[in-house]
Amino acid sequence: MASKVVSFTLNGRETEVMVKPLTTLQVVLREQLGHTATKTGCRQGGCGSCTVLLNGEPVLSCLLPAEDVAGQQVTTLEGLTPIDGLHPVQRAFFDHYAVQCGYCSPGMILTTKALLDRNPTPSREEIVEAISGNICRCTGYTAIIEAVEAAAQALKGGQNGR
Amino acid sequence: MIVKDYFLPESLDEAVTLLAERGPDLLVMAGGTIAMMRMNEGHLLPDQVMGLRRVGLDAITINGKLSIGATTTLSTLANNESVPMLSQAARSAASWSLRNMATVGGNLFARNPYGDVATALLALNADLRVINRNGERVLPLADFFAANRQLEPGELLADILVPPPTGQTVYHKFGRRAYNTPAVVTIAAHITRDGDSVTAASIALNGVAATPVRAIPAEKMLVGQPLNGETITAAAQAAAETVDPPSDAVASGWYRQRMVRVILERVLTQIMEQEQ
Repeated sequence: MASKVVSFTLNGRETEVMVKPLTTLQVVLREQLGHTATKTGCRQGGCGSCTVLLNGEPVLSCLLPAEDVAGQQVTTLEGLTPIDGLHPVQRAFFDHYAVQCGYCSPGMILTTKALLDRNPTPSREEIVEAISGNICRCTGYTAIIEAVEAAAQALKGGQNGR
Repeated sequence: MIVKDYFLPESLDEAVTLLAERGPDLLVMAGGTIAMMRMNEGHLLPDQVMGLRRVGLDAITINGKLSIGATTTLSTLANNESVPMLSQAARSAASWSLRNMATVGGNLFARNPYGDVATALLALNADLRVINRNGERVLPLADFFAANRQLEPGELLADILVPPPTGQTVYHKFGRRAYNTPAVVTIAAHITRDGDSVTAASIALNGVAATPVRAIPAEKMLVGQPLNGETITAAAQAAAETVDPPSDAVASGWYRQRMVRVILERVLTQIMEQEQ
């Protein structure tokens, strides 16, 4: 059961970790690197709370062996958050009461970021489709959808996120 | 998770060599959306796992037939418009993040009712190219399902080969929600007509058995006939009568059987009304 060293870029920073065979990226982020914005929900790929961006694309860190991301770019909510204040997507979620218990928020916000990077003016239908893998048990989704619409507006207004 | 070895081969050669050396105890995994889930739950506790993300089977090429590498993600297939029924099937599967991980080859091994892309491939008469250390063989996807998805020891699924559709295709996934929803019933139909008359019919159903299945009695009833209200109703009825779908958390078998008739009627009507 030999551990291996895995190097990847985490939120723009070169990162090296030692992992046992088949350790998931989720466990590495939370338990080895202390990046606890990435949540542990169902561990079955069903809830979306562990969503991270791999080379800008949303993936589920609970199903992803850490060794598979060697040499690649991983973004978590920690990487989106500026040193001072909030990313425009975070700001929109805050302003539109899209956060209740907050458990789905990191995954929702990262999925929103990936959506708006590809499609700066999504329709309501496209938003619903994009976040359909992120389960929220509090809000009933309306507040979240409105927050995504507001984030799109804010980003279009030149308040570009990182 | 107590896995002793996790291999990430960098080529197909390396992968089949590992498989030959390690034998059936080596769990083969592509996107991880089936295997990792079961390992996280403790339902599957392998000693050795081989991941296929780096073997280079993740491309779609066209050379007469469409050749889809086994580890092509559903997102890649969704964005490839060369066979519209396949991109539609991939697009309506699971969620964005899962489609970024789940693979076309893996979908052939997904348990019922998750094999939606496999259902579209079955309707298109796809073949599988499987390889082992000594060579390769091509087998029809229908035979793979008939053999309960068993490959020979040491064999690895390399590509899925799809002949270009000769007729009209319609794909209809019926779930309980609009997005990210498992199938109550999925129907993929490929119908070739000459004038009024159906010359070839291939109808694949998902959600009704352990694997996607062809609706052979319905297909036979349609060949040689025109598509009209009467023949469509009769074929849909025949398809429903020949399945005995399972009940699960998504839908009851009773409901699924009735939906086979309703959805197949809609699919065939859509084909009838389309330009040929």
